[in-house]
Amino acid sequence: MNLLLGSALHGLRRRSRLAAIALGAGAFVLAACQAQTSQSSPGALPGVNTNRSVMPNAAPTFSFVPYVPTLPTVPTPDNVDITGINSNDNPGNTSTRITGVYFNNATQTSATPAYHSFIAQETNTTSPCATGWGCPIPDPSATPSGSNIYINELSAAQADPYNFSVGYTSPYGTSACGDGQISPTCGIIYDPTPLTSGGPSHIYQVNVGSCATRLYGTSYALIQVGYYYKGTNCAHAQAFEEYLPPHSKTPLTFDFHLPPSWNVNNSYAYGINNKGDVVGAYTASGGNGFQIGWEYDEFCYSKIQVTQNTSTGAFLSTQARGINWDGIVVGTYEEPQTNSKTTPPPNGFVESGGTPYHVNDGTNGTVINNINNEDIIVGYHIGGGMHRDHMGFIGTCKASAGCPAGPPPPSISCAGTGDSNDSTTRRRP
Amino acid sequence: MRYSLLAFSSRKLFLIGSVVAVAASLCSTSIRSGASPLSHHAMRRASTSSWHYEKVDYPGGTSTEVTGINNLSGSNGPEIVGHYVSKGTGSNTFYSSFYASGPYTARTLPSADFTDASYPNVKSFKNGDLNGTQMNAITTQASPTALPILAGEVADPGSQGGNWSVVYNQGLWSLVKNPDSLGGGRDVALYGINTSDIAVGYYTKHGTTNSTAYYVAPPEINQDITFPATISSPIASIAYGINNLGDMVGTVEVSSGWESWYALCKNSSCPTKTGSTSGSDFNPSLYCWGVLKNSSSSVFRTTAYAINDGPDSGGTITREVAGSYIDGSGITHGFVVPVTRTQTSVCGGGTAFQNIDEPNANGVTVVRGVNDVGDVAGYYIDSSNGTHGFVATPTGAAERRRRR
Repeated sequence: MNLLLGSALHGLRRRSRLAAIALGAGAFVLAACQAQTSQSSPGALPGVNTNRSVMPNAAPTFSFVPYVPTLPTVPTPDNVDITGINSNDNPGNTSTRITGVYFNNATQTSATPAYHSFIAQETNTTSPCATGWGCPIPDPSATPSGSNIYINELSAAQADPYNFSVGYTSPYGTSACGDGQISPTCGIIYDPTPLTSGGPSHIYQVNVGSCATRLYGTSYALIQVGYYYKGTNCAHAQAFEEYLPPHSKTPLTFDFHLPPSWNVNNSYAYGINNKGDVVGAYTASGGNGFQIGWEYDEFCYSKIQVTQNTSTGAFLSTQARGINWDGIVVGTYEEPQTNSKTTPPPNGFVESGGTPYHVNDGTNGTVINNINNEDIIVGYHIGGGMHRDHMGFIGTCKASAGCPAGPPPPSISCAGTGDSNDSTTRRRP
Repeated sequence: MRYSLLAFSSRKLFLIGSVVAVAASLCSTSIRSGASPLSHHAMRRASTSSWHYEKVDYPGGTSTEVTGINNLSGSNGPEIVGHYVSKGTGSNTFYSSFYASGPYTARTLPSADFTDASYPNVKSFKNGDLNGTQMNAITTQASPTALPILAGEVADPGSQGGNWSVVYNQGLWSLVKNPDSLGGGRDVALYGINTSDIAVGYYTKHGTTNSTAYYVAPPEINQDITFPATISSPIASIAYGINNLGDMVGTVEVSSGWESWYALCKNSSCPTKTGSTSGSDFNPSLYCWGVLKNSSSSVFRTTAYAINDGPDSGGTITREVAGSYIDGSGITHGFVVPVTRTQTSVCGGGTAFQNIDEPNANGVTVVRGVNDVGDVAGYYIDSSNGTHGFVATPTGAAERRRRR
């Protein structure tokens, strides 16, 4: 369960001032910048937008369809998170797949909450899903079996339908890490390809150090990103990248070295596209857990921050969760807490033209986890019931109504490259 | 008013004499630097006219090429990058890249000094052609323990087809898109990179087969390299090398064939890091330009692969360009040649070629890299048609290092 949104499950109250919004609404200025530079982003709307309504011909518009997997022998789950979606542009891939996690409220109160993952394949049916995007059907053969596995993303493998998926074991497993076994600390890569001997498919563990490891993103090249915990009492998170070199059986892991000027205390990597661009979030020392989104793109680290839609334009706690081939970033942000009793709900954002736009499905909070190369977004919104159930969704855009556009020619400055030649003086444009 | 030396005290005479001596030394320095840059460099080159060669073969590889060398000093420097073909057939045979650190005192580098740096999940063969990663350039990290930064190309990454530019930043891989958005990522390659992470290479524009030289600066600033009027009607071009000062080398095809060019930056602001992602903002007037000519005044059949930072002597700067050329007998020689830029930004040199021929080569020696102390790296083909990498050190290297 991610750090920013863990509190979203409990005790949220409806924000009375929010109107129900099914389509994207409003625009906020994105700050992708060095600490010293202007907070305005390239392509930002002039002035401060005090109106949260949809901006014609600017904000992308999405149609949301709820999704609940129909699983054999499993009653309809209370909660569904759609965690990832791959793309349909690999020659070997004939249909899109989504990943998700489901769980029931009853199990959450026990000492060992149970999560289950699923992978579902797009079909040609159009009802009740959005026109032009068939409702996915769960594919048990592609899904690691067992409880306490949190699958976050899957790639397009070279030989469809054997898409690799990545994730981690939830914190309530028991056994030690090993192939086919579950542990509270393992990152996992799941290969559904049956073994030639007819044995079970493979779960590969990814552990960095002796603390917990979690994987969140993977690409066509099977490069994974995530984070692991390190340090005294495993107190600090470190974003990293992992892959297997072509003719080696030993995977390699490399940390993301965010710029020293950011005073990073914890770093998390959540998404990677097929080009190798990575997004995530970090917290700074003394920041009280306030999250700042970041992106890595060809040597360059830059911040991604949503600003408050007021005249002050203060930064909001932001997580960048996914990025597609066009460089469109999606994620979540939080409005500031207005009183000690109410935790603000998360909000989704989708970039278009380098500017984030407020995108919510529902009124109680939205988490956007990922976006694929067809600009389909996935995530969940928070229901209005007592349990604040997670309601998974698939969001599609229509070019006629406004699909997101990639970022404009870069005018941001790299905050750093993480290499030993890096210094702030070298990075001015 | 007349002065007589006899009127000064001995202390004053000593002080005057010291000042005069210092002034004289400064003057003599100025005179030396004011001499013809070519003759100045020729004087230095005469003391390094022979080379010490070390063979480089990747352990288990059947064919090894060294494609770049950096300036890392100390007991572990310099570092080299290259690629090899592994033994075996079929899926076991493909290009990989490695970087290795010195010192190159052994005839063959120990296997422990090599590190594989190949893009993950790349097929060995595609449609019968050899597939894989070829890294072509390596920068110099300020920290000797830092992992390297490499630039090169990879074929069909993630089954996306085509040839892609790729950079390796201390373990992190990034594909570099073709600046021509319609061309996708295909038919691009990077051949050089400097300590500002600015890389050079070529890409192919959509609907054409001609290559266009370009540079890419993070993040995704792409600029076509355009040529001055002195290089008329370029048909195609490739940029092969860039040093840390922004000077570049490469090749260009004109009506009479391919020739090698060099561009020396006139100030500290080239290449620029601003501009668009698909750029026509390159300003050739920021450079002085020259074309390499061998002893027979022929400009062709040379390929300039690399350029170092070189020494600056007063108002004239000197760089060394390295590459290969084919002589009238069809023999391929490696070479280094000095090029210069005067204080008035006039390019010169490019004619005093020094051949580099690996002693075991059978007609082919190619130099792909040169560092600031004159070490070169490349590959040769022996009498058994085996391809081997090599590093060559000028025999006056110790003296040159002290001078620096």
